[in-house]
Amino acid sequence: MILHKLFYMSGYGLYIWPAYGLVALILFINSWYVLRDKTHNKT
Amino acid sequence: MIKVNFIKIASPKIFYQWCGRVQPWARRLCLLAFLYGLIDGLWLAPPDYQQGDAYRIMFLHVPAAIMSLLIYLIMSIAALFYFIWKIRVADQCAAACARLGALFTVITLMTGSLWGAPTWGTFWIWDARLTSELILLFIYLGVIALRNAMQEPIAGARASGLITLIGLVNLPVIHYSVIWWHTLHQGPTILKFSQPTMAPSMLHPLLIMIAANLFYFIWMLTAEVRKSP
Repeated sequence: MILHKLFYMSGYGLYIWPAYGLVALILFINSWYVLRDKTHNKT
Repeated sequence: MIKVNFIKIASPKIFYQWCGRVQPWARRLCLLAFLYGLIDGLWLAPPDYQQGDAYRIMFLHVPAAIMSLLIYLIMSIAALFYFIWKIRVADQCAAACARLGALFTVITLMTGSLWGAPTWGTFWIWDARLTSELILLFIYLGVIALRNAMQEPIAGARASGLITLIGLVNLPVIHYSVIWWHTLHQGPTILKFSQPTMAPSMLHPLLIMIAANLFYFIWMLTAEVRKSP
């Protein structure tokens, strides 16, 4: 069912999945950049 | 319960402690809201009768656009607090806001382009809304560059704060650009005085995704401020 839903969206998938993928990548890199160094965290 | 006392919270020690308490809750709420928002937006919400599934980019684009404006407003308030009361943590908040605001503006422009391609037939057009949002990105980048360009941190904070307050004039231009000018971009749907003109089945995941973006911002802001030198 999930796969069907994914392929169902493939009509505009050219635009939807790159958008979701790129945003996920950007947020992941940003989170890693912000949270990577915990040694200076002030309590 | 977390009590907010603005005089006490201006103290870096108290502020960092407060951030430390807020951060895990913001992280949990952000992850939960993203998970629920994505399931609701990509799975439960029906396709649009005109755009089909392409409209689902809205669940990324609209929250990021709202955040890009909201963060600028928060950055301006923080800059004003620093100018008036010389509160150090206010300047640290403004610095963190500049980077996060630029990030959300990039997401807005990028997802807007990917939404524009199937619906407008073009990735970019020099439309009033798109151009004013691009100017917002340049202001964010200018604020970051100016802060880093100054050797003296206090001079950097003052200069970037001043640019932030001058750039505030761009916010109403972005919001009202679709009303003031004839644009390809659609008019306001959520942020308007009358009721939102959107089906509840689509509005619901959108509001959840806005909340997810807001919690992400709080999570990242509190984490970044606690790392500030």
